[in-house]
Amino acid sequence: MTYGDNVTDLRTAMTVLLKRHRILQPLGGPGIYTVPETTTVEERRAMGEQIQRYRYVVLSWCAAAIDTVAPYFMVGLVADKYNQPVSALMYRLEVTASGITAGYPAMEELATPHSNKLVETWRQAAKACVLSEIDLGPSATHLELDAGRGRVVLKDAADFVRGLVVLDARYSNVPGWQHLKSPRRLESSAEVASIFARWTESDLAVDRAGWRPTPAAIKGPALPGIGGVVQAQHNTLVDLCTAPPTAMNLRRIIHAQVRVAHEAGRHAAHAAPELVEPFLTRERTYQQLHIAARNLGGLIGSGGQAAAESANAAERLRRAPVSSTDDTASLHELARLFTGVDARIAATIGHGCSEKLYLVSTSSHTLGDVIDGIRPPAKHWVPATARVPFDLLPIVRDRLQPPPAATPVRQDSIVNRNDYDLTIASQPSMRRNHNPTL
Amino acid sequence: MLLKHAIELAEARSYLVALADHALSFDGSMEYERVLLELDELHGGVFPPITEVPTSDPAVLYQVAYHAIAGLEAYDLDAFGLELCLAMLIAARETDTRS
Repeated sequence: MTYGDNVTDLRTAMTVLLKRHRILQPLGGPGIYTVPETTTVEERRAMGEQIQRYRYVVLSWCAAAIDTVAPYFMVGLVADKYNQPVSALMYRLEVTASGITAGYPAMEELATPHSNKLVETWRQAAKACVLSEIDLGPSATHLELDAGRGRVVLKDAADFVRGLVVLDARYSNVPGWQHLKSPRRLESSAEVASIFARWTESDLAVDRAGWRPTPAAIKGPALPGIGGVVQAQHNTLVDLCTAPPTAMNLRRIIHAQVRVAHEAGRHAAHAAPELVEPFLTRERTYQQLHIAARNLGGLIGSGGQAAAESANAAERLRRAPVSSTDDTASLHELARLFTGVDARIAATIGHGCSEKLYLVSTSSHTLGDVIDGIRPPAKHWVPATARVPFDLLPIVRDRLQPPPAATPVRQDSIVNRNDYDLTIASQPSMRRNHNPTL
Repeated sequence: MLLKHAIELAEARSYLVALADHALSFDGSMEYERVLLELDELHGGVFPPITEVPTSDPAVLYQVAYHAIAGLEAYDLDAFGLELCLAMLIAARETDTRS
């Protein structure tokens, strides 16, 4: 699920909770003379404790989200950090969390639907937070964060904190309810952070980002015709995503991709003429890459499976019967896989060169200096980023790296957030007027 | 790798690359490149760089490349692997001249 899916679920649950007043009634307690009391005080206390555990999950998610995006907004001296909106909110969340005694809910509590609608809504909120946790943290890269995307996450988290403060005051009558520590200060910090996040342009494309399961290889015997080529090319991409190939395997993959692109162009001439030019351009690019990589070495990595599948793709495409119009869809699928493989190879070469996984063999006119009476061989391997006549990286940068695609904004991203802003702003306990704009 | 071995390997690699660059057909070029990959694999991915060669005559390039690869047998390499390389080189030459 994407960040947008999880946060929309959380926002929906929070909106439902914020619209719910007179909390004892939904918990089966007294309130209206015409509606009988259906639960005991002890049952309401148990439900209240369960809600507090769910609330702790939501609060922890907010803290984790703000911690994740904080590096994009914390500037200046460390001594000033409590004067900055984001750091101040982080500090208030830390203080609040330290005052909460309710722990995290057990997995059964998170996974099992509750018969009471109010508790169930809290469970939905907590569940959305747990599902979204994988996208947060300093090492999580699924959201591809930058300042624009970080602002969206910051505002979401700050607004959820404001919602929790509102709800905290409303649950006073629940038996055993423990209030948040210094709610006014927390709400104030969250509001300032929320306003701070609105100052400049946000990037709602973050809603489409998030963890996705790793695609699996297509196993089994080779599919007939172009299908077998798509199968092998897909498996190449899957293996390239698993681990970087050694330099030798990278050269083998590039070598096979030259033929794959060449043969794909031949097939496209019959089935999809619009793809001929892109395929031939790709062939030329890989030919140049192959020439530039002739002196590339490096023993770290794997990539044997990718090299084998690449060779399979080349061979199957060479032997496949000439494509007809029935193969048009398969060729377009192949073009889509080409884009993925190109991007992956570009990233692999860039990473391998910067991390010195790939080295370049260079000629040396002299032997090494004498050390302890022994003359060692001159060093013949230099990092690919060193100043040697090595034109692999410019080709990767200029011709292989796909242009950054603009991620379309989800239609419901703005609407959902505006609805939540309006709900928050309409709460009686809110002290200021809010502009429901992102 | 001894210096003499490195020089002979560099010669074999350089002439193979020249053959691939001056191949008459796409298939021929790809086959010569395969021989180069096989030769590099035989050396564990450790090899000297390619240098320029003084000729572009395919017949001369082929003869020099063939004898350079055959000469590598003197350096304690896998003889079977070398024979495979030579067979691949012959096949590549046939592919290139056939088309």
